[in-house]
Amino acid sequence: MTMTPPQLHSLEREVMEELWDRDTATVREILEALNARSEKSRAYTTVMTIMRRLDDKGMLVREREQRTDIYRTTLSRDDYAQARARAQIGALVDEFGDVALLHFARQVDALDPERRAALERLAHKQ
Amino acid sequence: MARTRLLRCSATLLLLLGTALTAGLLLAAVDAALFHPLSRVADLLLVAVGGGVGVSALLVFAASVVRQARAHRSARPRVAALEIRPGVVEDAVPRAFCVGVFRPRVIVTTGALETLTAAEVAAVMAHEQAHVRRHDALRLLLVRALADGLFFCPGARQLAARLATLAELQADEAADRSGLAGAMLRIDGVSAERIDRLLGQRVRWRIDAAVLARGAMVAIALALAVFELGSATGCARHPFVADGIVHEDAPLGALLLTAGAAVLLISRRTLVGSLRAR
Repeated sequence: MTMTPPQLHSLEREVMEELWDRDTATVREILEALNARSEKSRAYTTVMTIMRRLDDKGMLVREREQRTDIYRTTLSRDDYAQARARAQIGALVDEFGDVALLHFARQVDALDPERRAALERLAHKQ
Repeated sequence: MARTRLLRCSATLLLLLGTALTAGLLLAAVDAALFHPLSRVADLLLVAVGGGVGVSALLVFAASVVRQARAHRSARPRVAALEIRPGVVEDAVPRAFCVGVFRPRVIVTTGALETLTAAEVAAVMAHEQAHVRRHDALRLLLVRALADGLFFCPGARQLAARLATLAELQADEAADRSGLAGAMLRIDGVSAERIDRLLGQRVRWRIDAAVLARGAMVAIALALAVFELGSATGCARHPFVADGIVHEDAPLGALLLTAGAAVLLISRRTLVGSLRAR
């Protein structure tokens, strides 16, 4: 099973959006892109901290080229959205359990070979 | 099938019986406290204990309804937000469920649509539609709340859990057997009992008789308490005159019986416990 990608807060999200637009980027590039788009001017260290944190969370990988760090995304935007949606359904199921959702199946019983064979016979008897 | 329905009705009736007795106790205690100045210690004690049990049952019931309704209310929009088209959510794990109480909707995951054959999807949908048709979400909400309210009554929780399982068994009966068998092979977590039922085994009652016996004792204690309060407030006929003889009726006797039943319940190693051990 793959790991569930983390939820992003607003600034992390902005940084990721910029990175998704260009695949790889340095902190300086992202800083300039962010500052060009908004009136608020961010400090270099703020953006660096965010990108380090995204690296820790597994959203980015860092490569050192000469004396600058180049960051690359680990998941595409779509993959991230899908993985989050999947995680949310799983989380909903865990959170609400039987109270709010009436499941087709929600036991932990493993299917024993005998029952499996009987079910298979029944399933193929169309 | 008729048998599943019969079992479901019986379990519901037992739960309603306990509820009716508790409601009766609460009403009798309120009536006695407000409209009948009782003087005897035994009666006052009964009013206090009965009222306490009745009020706490009512509060726990209400809290349970609120808690469950809140969960339903927050689950619905969160599922809706994840829908990629009506009734379908993105998830590789094959799942199907109903969401909502008053207007329940059936939701399947993309994983279910991808891994199941058309006949299997149809069977799963028939199962979920059966829940929708029978308003199972609403019924089970009430059943759980009633069982929560009867927290002092052994067996109430088991009845509620059993009713939830019986609802699943009944929903299975609405689906095509062969398609359902296929779906059960691919969707993890179907209980052994449902598989056995699909394979032709009879549905069993499956509620521990010893637990039910203890529940019955509580029910008897409740009935006695209601009866006692009723006669104590029987328009103040203490002592009453019949056939020219002054009768001093004995609520104390019934109280002792009630207390005895309670003690029996509390010490699990008594009667029922020892019967069970053998």
